[in-house]
Amino acid sequence: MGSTPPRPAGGERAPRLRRVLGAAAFPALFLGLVVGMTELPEFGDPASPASTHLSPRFIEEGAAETGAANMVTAVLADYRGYDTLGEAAVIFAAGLGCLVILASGGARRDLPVAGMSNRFGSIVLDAATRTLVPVVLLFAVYVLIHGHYSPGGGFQGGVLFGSGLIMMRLVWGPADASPRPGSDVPTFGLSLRGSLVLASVGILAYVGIGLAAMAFGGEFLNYGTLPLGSDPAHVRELATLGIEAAVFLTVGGTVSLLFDTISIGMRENGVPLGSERGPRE
Amino acid sequence: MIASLTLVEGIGALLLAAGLFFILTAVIGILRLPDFFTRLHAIGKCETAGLSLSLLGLAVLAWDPAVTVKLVLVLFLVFLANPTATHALARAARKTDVEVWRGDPSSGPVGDR
Repeated sequence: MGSTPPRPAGGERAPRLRRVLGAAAFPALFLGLVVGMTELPEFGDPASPASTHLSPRFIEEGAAETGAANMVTAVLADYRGYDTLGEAAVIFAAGLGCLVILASGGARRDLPVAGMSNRFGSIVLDAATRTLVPVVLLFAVYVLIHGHYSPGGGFQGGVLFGSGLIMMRLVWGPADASPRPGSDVPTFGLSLRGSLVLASVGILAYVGIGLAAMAFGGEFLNYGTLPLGSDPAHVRELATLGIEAAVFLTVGGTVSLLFDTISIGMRENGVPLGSERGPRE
Repeated sequence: MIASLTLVEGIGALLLAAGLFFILTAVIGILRLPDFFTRLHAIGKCETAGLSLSLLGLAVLAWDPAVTVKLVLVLFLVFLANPTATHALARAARKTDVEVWRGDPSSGPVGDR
């Protein structure tokens, strides 16, 4: 790319009241956080509550209490489910931010995927993608489910899932295009709107599982009360799988959403994409 | 030491050595060849061969169905994905006007120019 895309003109300045409030809120928040930090135990202090109470409990009781042989999964999805909800929400928010900044116009018009209206146009890529994508998607689900026993889980599986979606998009073009020229069988690629729905459903499912635990008399995200069976560890195991699946959807949808919004943003800023150029020969 | 190798270990070690030879060739190709396309040519072929042979060697050395089957699956993936990626790179380079080297191959190694 020889020239940088033209920057959009600087937006209107925010109203005075909002600027004053923002300027006042920042030092207040900063001071509050600094004061809070001085109260924290020394970093890595072996006598801190986290080291003396939490870690031994996780290590000694984790497998029995949560039914997860993989201790990382037990901590991430069960003991610290709140944390993981926050992480999934941050990823989702990043996807929404890209959508608003880069592609707000494109999303409303539901452009399939800007700049990808021609397929990449190579029979080699087409054949390889048709072979690889099902394997990638299946492996994503395997990584999700096997996260209980081995490295893996919702985040990793979700990224794999999103990569499979992006691969289809890169080679075959928009979600409603057909992998075979002249056939009207569509791909299973997601449209931009579909990715957004997928990511939203993931976040909502996560919160929903937390709320369901409350509805059955527990605390938010304390799965033990869910009516999924009599063995407490097994109940938590199932609920953890639900949480991981929700994270999977959020991450997969967001990764695909990021790809779409960035390609739309490039198109709207006048950056030519590879598939818009004809072959030189 | 050599004498104590079993047949399986010997075959595995030979495959690994062959794989390393091809990877070394790819590295030399990347360093010595003059332009993007010729370098891609070197790494596309030699790396696929090198990685495949190395994986095959490891699969033989592991000699455990669970590990061997997984490594063979990875081998298939490499066999499919690596040449395809090379193809995509070359194609994208052609479409974006990456310069093709048209020098004289007999004029000595590139490093000397």
